[in-house]
Amino acid sequence: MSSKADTESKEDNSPNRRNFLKVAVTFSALLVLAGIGAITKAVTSTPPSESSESVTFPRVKVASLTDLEANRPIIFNYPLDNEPNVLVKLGQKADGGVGPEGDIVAFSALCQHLGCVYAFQPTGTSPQCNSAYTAESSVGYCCCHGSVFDFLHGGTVQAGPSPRPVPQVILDVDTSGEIYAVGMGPPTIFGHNTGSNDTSSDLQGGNPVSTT
Amino acid sequence: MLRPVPEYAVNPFYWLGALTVVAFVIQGVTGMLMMLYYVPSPIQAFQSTQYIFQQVYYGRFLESVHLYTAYAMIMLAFMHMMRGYFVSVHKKPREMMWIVGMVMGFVTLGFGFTGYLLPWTVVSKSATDVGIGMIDALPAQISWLLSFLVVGAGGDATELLRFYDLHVVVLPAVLLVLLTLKMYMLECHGISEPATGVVSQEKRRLIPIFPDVSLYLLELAAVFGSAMLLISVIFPLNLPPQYSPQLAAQFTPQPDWYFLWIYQILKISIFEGPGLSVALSLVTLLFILLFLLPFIDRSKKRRLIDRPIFVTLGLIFVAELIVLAYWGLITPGQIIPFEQAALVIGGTALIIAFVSFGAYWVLFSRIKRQTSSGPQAPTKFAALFSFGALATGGAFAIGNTMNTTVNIIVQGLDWWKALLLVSSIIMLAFVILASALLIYRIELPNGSLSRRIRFLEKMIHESK
Amino acid sequence: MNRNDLLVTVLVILQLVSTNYLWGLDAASSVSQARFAIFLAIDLLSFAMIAYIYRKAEWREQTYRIWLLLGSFGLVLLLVSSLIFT
Repeated sequence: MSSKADTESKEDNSPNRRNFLKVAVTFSALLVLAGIGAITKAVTSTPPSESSESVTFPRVKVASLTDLEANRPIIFNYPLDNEPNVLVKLGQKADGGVGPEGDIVAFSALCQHLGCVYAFQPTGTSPQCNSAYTAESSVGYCCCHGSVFDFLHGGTVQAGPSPRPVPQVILDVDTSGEIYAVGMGPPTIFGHNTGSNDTSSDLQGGNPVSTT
Repeated sequence: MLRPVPEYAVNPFYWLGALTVVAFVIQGVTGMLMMLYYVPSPIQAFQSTQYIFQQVYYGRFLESVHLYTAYAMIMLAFMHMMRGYFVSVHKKPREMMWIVGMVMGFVTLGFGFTGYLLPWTVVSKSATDVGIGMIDALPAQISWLLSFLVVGAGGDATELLRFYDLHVVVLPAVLLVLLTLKMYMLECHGISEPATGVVSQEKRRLIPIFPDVSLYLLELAAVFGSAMLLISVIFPLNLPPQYSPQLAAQFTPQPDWYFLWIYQILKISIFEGPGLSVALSLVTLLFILLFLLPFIDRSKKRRLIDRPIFVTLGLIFVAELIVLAYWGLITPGQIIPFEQAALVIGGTALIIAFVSFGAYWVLFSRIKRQTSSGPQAPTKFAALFSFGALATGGAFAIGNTMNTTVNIIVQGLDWWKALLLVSSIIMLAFVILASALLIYRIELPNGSLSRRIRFLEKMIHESK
Repeated sequence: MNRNDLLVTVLVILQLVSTNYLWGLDAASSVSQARFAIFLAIDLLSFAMIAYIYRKAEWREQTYRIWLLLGSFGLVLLLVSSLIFT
């Protein structure tokens, strides 16, 4: 694509012109760099706000891999000492699961409906409070009003009146096989700004379990 | 120090690789600024990203530039690769440059894959989960290695931290090392010859790298930079909602656009369930073939005009990528019936082959013409290929016309079907005309068919 | 002074003005992000044009008018859009 060159510059290559252009180009480049510097200055001078104080969840050891048996739940408090959770090895890969088979999960033990403590129900078993119901997969069954939470799929509601899934505890396994709770996923634990997705509320209203 | 550059190389096509590096630098600058605020833990990832979007001065702008430049970097790397392919840079003596370049391409895709997870939104986590699932479905030796690198025995927290480490430290380091290697090799071998093979003496004039050629690079970089800035202003980014398992269950995962073509292949019905490993092995095989291109395409011919098969293959590859990616975009989460997939993939290949070989045929007779006494009969090679392409193209066009007509009668007319019908009729007409032209060319005084018929007649006369 | 040199001078002055503007922008305002991008783009495009003119002068070649026209048109467009943008 050549629109023919116009005789803009009459081959004027006097040293004066060349110097002028050299200076112009260098100055121009410096101005561009200055422009980029402006954004660096602006970004780094953002004033910190209260909400930028990042919420830190404690890192708490819950169990060792060797302690666990399939379908035997372990109850523990996290992140506050009045917030019960249930940890269980399911025997099959689950969403958000940790461990060598990706089957260890933990959820808040408080039902999202009205805050009752529910229990883990292995596949094929029935809860004592309702022998008519048989768990078709690994679930949490709430005896108060029959909410069923699917432990294989992030605690989503399978049945019952609970309006939202139970929050999942974020777990981490270190190289020596110790399982730690390191955070809570959304939604918030029942009673802590219930229904919100801002899990910083889980840290308010009690004493945090100390980091181990 | 750095060897000077011939003038024909002061042309944007020779600088696609350099522009990829410019994009990488922009990524580094915007990325480092965002690192001041981003926190790579599952609870804080989304929070800190949202903080950047809403509170940090120019935060949303930084995020937008970072995303669009990432897309530009991948696109530029791809264009750089295809341009190199068509210009035969993978041939002797630059085979290693091609291989190192392919590794850099993988690293660039790795940047895209790891970076995509970091905001921890519904979109990004679901897409990454799909990607990890695919890695798991690879043959055990490869999947073990990748699972170890990328996920480990932990859960989300470990995954995010490893992705972050890869994205911010490991991959940039690897890319810089490979880049240095490639630059060193470029110094040894110099710029490759242009694909047309025709270069005037004037255009071979050498130009020093500093300051002249560097200035050209800076010009290109400045225009590229402005384009990225403007795109970020016209299409500022919005943050999708935070990842939660409940929200993710309602969401159809889609990989980012540069992986859509792979995803589309995996969605074909015959690759369901156990077939997934087969599909992934096929895709891996394709990548391995691309990798080993210098050892597959061994001919010494470099000019476009001398490489009909490989040029056609290259065009088919690009066309398939575009078609599959677009198709993937409009069919999220849907399984593709095998017949449809075969029709689309096969049809694209056939059309491109038809057009490409047809163009070569015309050029063969033009350029290889010895005398200028009118048009000559095509060579046997060209005639055979043309017949083959016309026959398959014709079958396809007839089949498509019939299929579309039946569809219209049964299901009624709409814009899409009308378009299909018109285009298949046009293709059919094209095939008929091309066949007529081919027969005419063969039938010229020295045409192969006439000669054979005359020879046969002579034989019959002599035997009497 | 021929036309190209005049253009270079105008462009450098334009760059000075826009870089100055960039540093003076109120970072807290949401409209600033778009304005920043536009003026940085003006900065970059001016640099590209100046570098082009210099490079062609070094090689003793003539500048192609089309690029200079396109560049100038782009700059005008950017300046106008920065005024419209709210």
